[in-house]
Amino acid sequence: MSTTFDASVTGVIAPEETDGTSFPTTSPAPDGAVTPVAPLVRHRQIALWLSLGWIGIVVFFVVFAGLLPIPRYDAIIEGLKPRAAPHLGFPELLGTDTLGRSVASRLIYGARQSLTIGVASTALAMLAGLTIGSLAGYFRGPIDAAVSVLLDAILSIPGLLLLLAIAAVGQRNIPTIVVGLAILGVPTFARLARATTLSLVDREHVMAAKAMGARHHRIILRELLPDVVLRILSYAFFFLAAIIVVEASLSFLRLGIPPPQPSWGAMINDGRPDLQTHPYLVFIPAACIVFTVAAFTVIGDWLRRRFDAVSFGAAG
Amino acid sequence: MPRLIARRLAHIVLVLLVVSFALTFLVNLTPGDPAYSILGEQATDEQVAQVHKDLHLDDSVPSRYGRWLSDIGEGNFGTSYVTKRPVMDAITEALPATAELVLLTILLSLAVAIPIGVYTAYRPDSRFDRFWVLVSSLFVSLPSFVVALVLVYIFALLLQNFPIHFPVTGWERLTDSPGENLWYITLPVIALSLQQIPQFARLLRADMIATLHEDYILAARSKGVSTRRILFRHALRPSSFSLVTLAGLNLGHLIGGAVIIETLFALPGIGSLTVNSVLSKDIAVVQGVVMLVAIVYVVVNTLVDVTYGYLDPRVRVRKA
Amino acid sequence: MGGRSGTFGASTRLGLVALALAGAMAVSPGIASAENATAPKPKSGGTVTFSYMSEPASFLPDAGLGAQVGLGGSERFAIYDALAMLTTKGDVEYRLAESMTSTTNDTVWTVKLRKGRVFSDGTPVDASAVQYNWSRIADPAQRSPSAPIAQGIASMNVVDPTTLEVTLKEPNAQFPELIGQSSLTFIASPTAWEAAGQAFGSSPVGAGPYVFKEWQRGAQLTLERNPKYKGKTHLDQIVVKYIPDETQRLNTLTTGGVDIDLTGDLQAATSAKQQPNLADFQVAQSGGINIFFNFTKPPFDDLRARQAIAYAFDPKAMDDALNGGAAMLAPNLFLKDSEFFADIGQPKPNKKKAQDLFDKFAAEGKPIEFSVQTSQTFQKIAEWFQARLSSFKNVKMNVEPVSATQQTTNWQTGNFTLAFSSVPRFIDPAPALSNALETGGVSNYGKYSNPEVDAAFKKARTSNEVAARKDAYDAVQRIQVKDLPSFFFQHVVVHILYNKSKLQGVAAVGDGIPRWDRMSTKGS
Repeated sequence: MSTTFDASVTGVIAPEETDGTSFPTTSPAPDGAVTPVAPLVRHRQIALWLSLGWIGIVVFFVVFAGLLPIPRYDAIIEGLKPRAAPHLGFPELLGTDTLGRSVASRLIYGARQSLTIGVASTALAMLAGLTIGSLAGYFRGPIDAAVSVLLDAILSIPGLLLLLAIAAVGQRNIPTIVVGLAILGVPTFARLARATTLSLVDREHVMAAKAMGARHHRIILRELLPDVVLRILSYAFFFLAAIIVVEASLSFLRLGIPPPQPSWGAMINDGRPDLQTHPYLVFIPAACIVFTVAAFTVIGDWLRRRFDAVSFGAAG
Repeated sequence: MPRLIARRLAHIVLVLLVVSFALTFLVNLTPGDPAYSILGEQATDEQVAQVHKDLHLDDSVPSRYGRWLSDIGEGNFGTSYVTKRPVMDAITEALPATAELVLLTILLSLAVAIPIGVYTAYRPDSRFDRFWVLVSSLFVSLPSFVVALVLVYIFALLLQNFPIHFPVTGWERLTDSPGENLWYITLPVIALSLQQIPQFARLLRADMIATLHEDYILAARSKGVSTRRILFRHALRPSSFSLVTLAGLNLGHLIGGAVIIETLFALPGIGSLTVNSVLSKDIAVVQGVVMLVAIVYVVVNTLVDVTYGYLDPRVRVRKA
Repeated sequence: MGGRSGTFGASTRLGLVALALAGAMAVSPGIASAENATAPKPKSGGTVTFSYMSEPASFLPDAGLGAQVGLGGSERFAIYDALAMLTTKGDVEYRLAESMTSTTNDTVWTVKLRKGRVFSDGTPVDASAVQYNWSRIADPAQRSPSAPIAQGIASMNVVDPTTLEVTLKEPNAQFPELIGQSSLTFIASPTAWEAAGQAFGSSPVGAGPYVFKEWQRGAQLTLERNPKYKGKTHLDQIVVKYIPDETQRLNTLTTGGVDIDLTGDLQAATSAKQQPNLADFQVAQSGGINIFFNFTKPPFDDLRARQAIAYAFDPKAMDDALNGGAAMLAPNLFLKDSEFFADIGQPKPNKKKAQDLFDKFAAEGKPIEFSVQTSQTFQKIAEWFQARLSSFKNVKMNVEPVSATQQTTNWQTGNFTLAFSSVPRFIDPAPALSNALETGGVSNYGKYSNPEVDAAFKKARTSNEVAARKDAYDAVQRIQVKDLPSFFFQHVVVHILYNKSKLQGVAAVGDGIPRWDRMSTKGS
């Protein structure tokens, strides 16, 4: 999946899609693959544990931010100049930003923002995409055609434009941004759900349920969805990884949550003019983004191996 | 066949209608009055009212949309509120920069990704493969603006006194001066490519590994065909379907606006045009750009589908 | 000689060419160089490339902000020259016009033009040309941003080819200053404008030292020497590059991609100072960056709330944090060397008083909470202020970045609490200051109204004597710091950052518009 605005956040071709078994008649799942970094046999375990560890640390800080002895993220630290370098003494381990606020505090609250937006929009996109996709895959016909039009419409709007417009219309707060990002993610979740539904619809247990006269919603909910969810769960992590980058890009373009709410992308943008003199202002938040995205990608890749073993075959 | 074409056409038309209406509706909802983009900060109320009248800004959204549709029917894509030039002119001026950027990006990305994908498929788990996995994950995790920053820092600033260095920003038309044009576009293309290459390489690797296990590859090998021939002649083509699909789709998307790169490198492309138009509420231009991008996307999509169906008999047969 | 337009590496190439054609080094009289008195003789020819952050929508004479640097003012000056401009010190400099005088109580003005000036299409710059331009601007069908100014003219009369008699609707002793700062000073060829209509904006014809050669929209503009220009210019070509990103613009200057960067960004100016081959020609203005309040809605319809904000704001702390102390703060409304300078003072920071006032409001059950929607220009300042206010109790400020269009819409519709702005900023206070503080003024978005202030401005318009005007402006300032419709904290300085190993003769007119006719590349 393309992870920036230079291509919309729209799609993933999970490799197993491409062996022809589950292809929809309209275009294949669009857009690029988030290169799920697949650490290789001996290193995979290490990478997985590292990733889980990093995510664990991030989640810890996000959850307990309020209890930690860190200054407020919008307060200017008395006694320290702005753009102070990280140093090993307290109080400011990671230095101050361009206005003199605590970098450590802003990193932590920025993580809270990134993760909240990421998880919420992923969940929303997955929910909406699952619903639309499996309905389209199950019922076919005009529902399928209508869904196809809708998905193509979303995909052909430049992502940034859509977010710009949504950000301008709604208020600049988390729900608006979550909705905007979720909309961008719906097409791929929907396509995946549809493709998986199509491939499962001929399975025996579904046929059996139909033969026994089960109602549609029962079939969908009981027989199809659990499998579909498992299959696309790995993609959810790839999407999450990409959303974190997209959110950073949004903040970079000043379209994200307004200040003083910190965001890793905004921190990078703030530090940009000082890149030559104070490079840490850019590299510290950039490193956070890289580690977090890589971690989610590794986890997603592990999930894919685990639950898609059937169609995964011998790929890598 | 004709039924298929008709369905496809209907699909395309519906998509374009939905897209254009949704965007028109949305952009109209954004706060801000285009009259101030035209008249400036010190406009009087009478002036504002006059502009509203001239541009039918007080009509309802559906009626303005209908008016725009009928204009489109006559081939008139509208006039920019702010520059008062035809929207088509603005788009055709902005298109070359974006088109060149995107085409070169895709080409460069493919040129780099294919050898890497082939090699890592041929020698999975090798040192190079592991190294590549690390490097590509880094590129994928970096936002494009960070990549651009680092590129500018290294190649334009640090190396500025070297004979071979790149300009920080700027643009020269291809027709005016191809050499200059390529200098200016090098850093932007590299910045964008660094995000495409990992995707392409990964996809190709996965497909090629699957292909390399096929029987006919084994047969070719036992016949003594050289490795190179096997990789590039026999294995690459059938493994490249999804790669081609992805390349086509990414191309369609990048046209929509590599906004960050265009802004940072001051490239006069569609991305900058779009953002500026939305911010100044120049709805006429926004509608025009959205239509253009949607058409490109839909056309590329169709081409990819058709080509895919043509290339891969399995899909043609499985008319699900 | 002279490099190609926009050529990457032009500076290197030009350097070599200039070396090859080393001219005699002589003390050159009258070159207003910012550096030293014994400047080398100006070389004739060459191209200068300058960068600016945004491209104007068109080069019609009446678009943009008038005779100011922003939105194409510099380019217009090159294309159209001007009837009159203000020098950076505030004196009226007559250029295409020879004089503007009034005999009848400042209502009827006689504009005399210099003889023999022509537009680049050969037609004469005469009184009927001026009349055509000003009538067209006043015409509502033209949708000109400067229409209100032109509509202040009741009637015009062409007395002879070089004399135009202008009757104003209301007396205005500062008519020349008004013309010199507005877009009415740019006169376009009526023949060409009439013929081209709206397309004139992309192919303007003026009487300036340079003519339009080519415009690659979104990228760059090329102007070349006007052979019909009556006056001396050195440069063959001017190329303007539009680079939206501040940091990249400076980087481009550093690496020689452009020769001049016109910017207000202090960070760029500070970084430029650290580079040996860059120089900074500064033009400061009175007035400048201020916070202004909306009198039509709470909470700032209450004087105490405005006072609280003024006490809470600390210009020096802001400057230290944001600019490392590089800004020119505004302890008073006027610059120290302005003839209207008065030591009346703008509000000084006082944390205790601010907190007391905030507490008072909380005690009354209406703690001060407000939202500020600001465009990108002042986002950093707004954010700093937000951080500062977080150290006070009982006050809360939200900052929301919006587009410039939306900001203007908010101001015009009264949909704001307080706002950051760099208007009014001026060399001469007329008309900018009255626009902001007079009842019904076009930039008086907060709807402030005080009859004493109105009376003072009216008085200032009746005389062009410095002493009389100063009295009036002193009165305005005294009321302003009491009423606090706005308060000023930082003067706007335009920085012309340029490559001093390549350019000389860098000087400015107005608020920072480069004097193109005096600039030249360095010989040898």
